Amino acid sequence: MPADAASPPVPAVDRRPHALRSAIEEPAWVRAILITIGLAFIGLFLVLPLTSVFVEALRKGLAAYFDALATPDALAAIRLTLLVAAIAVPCNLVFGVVAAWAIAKFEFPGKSILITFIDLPFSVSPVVAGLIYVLLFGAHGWLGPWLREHDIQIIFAVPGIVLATIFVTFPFVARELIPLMQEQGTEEEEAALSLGASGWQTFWYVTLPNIKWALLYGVLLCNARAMGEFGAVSVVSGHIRGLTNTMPLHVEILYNEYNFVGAFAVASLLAFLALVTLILKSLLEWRYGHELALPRR
Amino acid sequence: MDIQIQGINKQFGSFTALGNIDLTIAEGELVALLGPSGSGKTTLLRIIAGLEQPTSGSILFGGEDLIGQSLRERQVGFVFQHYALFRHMRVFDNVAFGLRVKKRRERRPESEIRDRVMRLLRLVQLEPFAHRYPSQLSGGQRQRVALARALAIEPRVLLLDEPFGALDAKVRKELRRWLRGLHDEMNLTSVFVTHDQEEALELADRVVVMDHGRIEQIGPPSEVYEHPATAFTYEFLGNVNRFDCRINDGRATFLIGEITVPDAIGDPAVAYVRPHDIDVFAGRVMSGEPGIVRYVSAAGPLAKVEVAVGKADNRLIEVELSRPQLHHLDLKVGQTVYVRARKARVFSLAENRHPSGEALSVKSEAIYDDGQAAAVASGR
Repeated sequence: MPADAASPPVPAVDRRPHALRSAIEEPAWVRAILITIGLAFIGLFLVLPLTSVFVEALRKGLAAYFDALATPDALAAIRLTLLVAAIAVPCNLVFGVVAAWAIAKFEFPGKSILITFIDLPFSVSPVVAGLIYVLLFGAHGWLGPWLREHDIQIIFAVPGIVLATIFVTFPFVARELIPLMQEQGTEEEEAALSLGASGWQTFWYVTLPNIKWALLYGVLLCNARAMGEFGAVSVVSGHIRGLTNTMPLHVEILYNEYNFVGAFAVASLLAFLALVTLILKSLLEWRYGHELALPRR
Repeated sequence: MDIQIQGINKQFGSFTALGNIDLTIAEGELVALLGPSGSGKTTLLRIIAGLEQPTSGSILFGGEDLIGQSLRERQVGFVFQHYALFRHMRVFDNVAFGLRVKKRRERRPESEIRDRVMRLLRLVQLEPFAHRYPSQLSGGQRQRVALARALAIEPRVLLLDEPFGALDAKVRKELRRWLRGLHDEMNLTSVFVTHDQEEALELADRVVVMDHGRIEQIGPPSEVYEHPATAFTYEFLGNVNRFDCRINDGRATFLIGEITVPDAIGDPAVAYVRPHDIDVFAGRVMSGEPGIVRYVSAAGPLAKVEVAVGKADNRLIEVELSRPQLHHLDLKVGQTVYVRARKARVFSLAENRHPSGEALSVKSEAIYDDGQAAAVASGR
């Protein structure tokens, strides 16, 4: 190889007039400062705390870590969290698809109200969401006496936790699907119907395959939130150990009891779940971004 | 299968998309619904298909009333403007879709479906592309997949919404010719919607000209083109220069000419002059209107010339000249010329303001043919 080809190319000197260059790009030092601030911010507020969770959890070694996770209360909390997510996520999946279908494919009175209300759980504080259910189903709530007569316990029991979780997580799937379905329009469905397909066949063979990645994406976010929800669940749960404690609530209890290894061990599970969600989400965006209607969001 | 459309009305709120449409399409006919956007042509097509319900009226296929029948029962082949191919299915599966979703007792075995799909793909010359996805095909190929998919269900009628709208000029022409051949071969009653008059005139057995939810004229292409029944049709089919005109004692006078009209035509009226019905003179002539040449384009079989006439040269008129004429006149931009209408058609505006409920009709027309002008033009 000739020597001159091996040497790195000399950076071209920018000979454009100064005014022209600064009009289209920032000087190098501005870029450097912005990037540094951005990265420092992420490091300080996201990476550092996340690392500390794992560090604290493992402070007394792997054995203590697994012992903390294997306590009956911790296992019960994990089981309950999984159960709640297993009910809330499918509910919101169905609701999300139905709502997105209705909004994207039909014109009906009250459509804009529906769109607005889907976002309500995003804008309202989770504590308020929890309180709503206490007011409705609690001992002194509207439906309280009737529920007591029929011996149904909702507040301070699993049903209340499920309801609160459904409330908090219900925008995720619908929000993901609406822009995509609106963009795709109704032509393919009309084509399927004109070819003799029934409504169900049209949904199953035409609509669903077109939205599957966006649906998965929505379900992923919905699931992450369902497992991590604290505020609303905290209000309706009653914090009964081994019975109505979800993982986030269990973390709080352990921490208040100065059981740091236990608290951080459970927290690390939640953090791990968040990381997995993030990775899957990025994978979906990278691989199927064009099917997620991302540019519209 | 013949199609009878009887008294179809379609309201969108207070907007009338279609007003009392009556139309009969004979078996094996290829009919074009031609009109500008918003004329209701696509709505009519969608009502025939059953994708849209009319406010009132009925649609009959071979005498059988279809209103209230589901799309599945209608058995209509519909080709969508943007093809609406199932993007996640291969070409083969797209075409097979209509056969696979049939009810279990009507469904053919997969091997038969396979044969039929491959036969259709051969028909639309896409056999080698059976395993491609729609996104891997060109526009013309997608259009043919859409057609094969619609034909797969053995439709009673074939409906096409702007079938060539999204294709480039050359492909469009090829596909048009191919579709005409296919239609003649299969003898399937077909209706297509288009806003392209050339497409309608070239392809269809009969053209239905529509505007504002009404049928303006129905007839074979030559008749519609040569004898437009209304001002709208005249204006819509081909280029035209439009002039306000004054009626006086049975004479219509407009900027570049005057003609005799029957008494039935009264003020206000408009005169239409086709670009090829205008004579251009380099020197002063009797009753010729002076103007200034603004633009000359010699590309194509006919030369296009724009001449500014009228007070302050504020009226631009379009003229088409044959190449020998252009060569003879040797026109230059900026040159002063004299123009005169050789032929014109006058429509009374009063009668053309949509009368209630009725299709538009022109009560009278007049043609002014001045042989002398032609003689002067060719004699010079």
